[in-house]
Amino acid sequence: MVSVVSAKSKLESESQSESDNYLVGMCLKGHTHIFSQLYERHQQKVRSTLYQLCGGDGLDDLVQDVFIRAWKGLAKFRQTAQFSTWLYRITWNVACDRRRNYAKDRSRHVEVEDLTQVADLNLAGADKTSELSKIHYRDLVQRGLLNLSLEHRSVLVMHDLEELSQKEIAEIIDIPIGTVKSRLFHARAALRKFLESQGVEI
Amino acid sequence: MNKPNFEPNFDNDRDFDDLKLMTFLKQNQPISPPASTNLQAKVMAELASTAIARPLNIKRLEVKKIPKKIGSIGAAIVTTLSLLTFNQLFNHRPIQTAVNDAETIKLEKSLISNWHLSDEEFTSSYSVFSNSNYE
Repeated sequence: MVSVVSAKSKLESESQSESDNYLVGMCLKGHTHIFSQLYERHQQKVRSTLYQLCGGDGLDDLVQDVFIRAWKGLAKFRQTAQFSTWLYRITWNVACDRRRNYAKDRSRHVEVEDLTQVADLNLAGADKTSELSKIHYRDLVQRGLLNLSLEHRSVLVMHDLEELSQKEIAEIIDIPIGTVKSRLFHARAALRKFLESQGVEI
Repeated sequence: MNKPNFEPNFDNDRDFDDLKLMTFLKQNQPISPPASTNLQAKVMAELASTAIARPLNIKRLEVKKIPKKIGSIGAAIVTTLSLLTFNQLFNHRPIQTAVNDAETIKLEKSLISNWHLSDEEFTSSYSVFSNSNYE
């Protein structure tokens, strides 16, 4: 079952990659509006990755920055590579720049945002406890991720949450695959330790 | 803990603890707040005023910058200078130019007619310009 699903998703990914490259070609020929299709296809992944790497503060600006950089550098994109991998690389660069600029402010903003999320909750439903526990766990995962260094966090987010392969991650971050494995091992160990310290049994 | 809502595709060497952790993370993955409604329009408007940075076409620039005529003149100058330098450095001889037969005869006759002006000592030894050779 797993292998069938895997093969199907691989095929889908390959055909998307081909059509991504076609869309890039069209953009390079001057069809600016075609870029909106690339935006629609990838914005959610970019947004989710950036959120997990940098938190929610100024998320729209970060997403915009990624797509503007992608647009400007479109001519440098090699058609032999995968557009999504290339876009993840830009996302990673934007996250690194953000860390340099806002490292000190980050934790404060995340706390504020978490409070906002809780306040926005509709607690009138029957499964109030379940919703609360979900939010609690999400908050723990978010805090656990922010507790890691950006190097460890990014590998864990890309591999365990965005389901990229270790090879792709090595390409995106430009590190050897052995380093990806090592960072993944340490990131998981640290996150597991954090979650256990918060009373979560995995 | 709830059942994971995704289909795992794990490497063979991943142990069970990692599997459990990944499942937990997937289930409780932080959800990004929704984008502002006009974000896409904002991005597209920004793109419309931003050009794609095209890499420089070096080959075309080279052809444009150096016209053929200037190129061949430059090559000729370089060749001439190289020859002169080579001669100066290794042969210590002036550059010889080709002289045709008629010019050679004319030159010899001129030398013979002016022979009396030359040094006695010099003419005592054999010379291609000696009178005897032409009588």
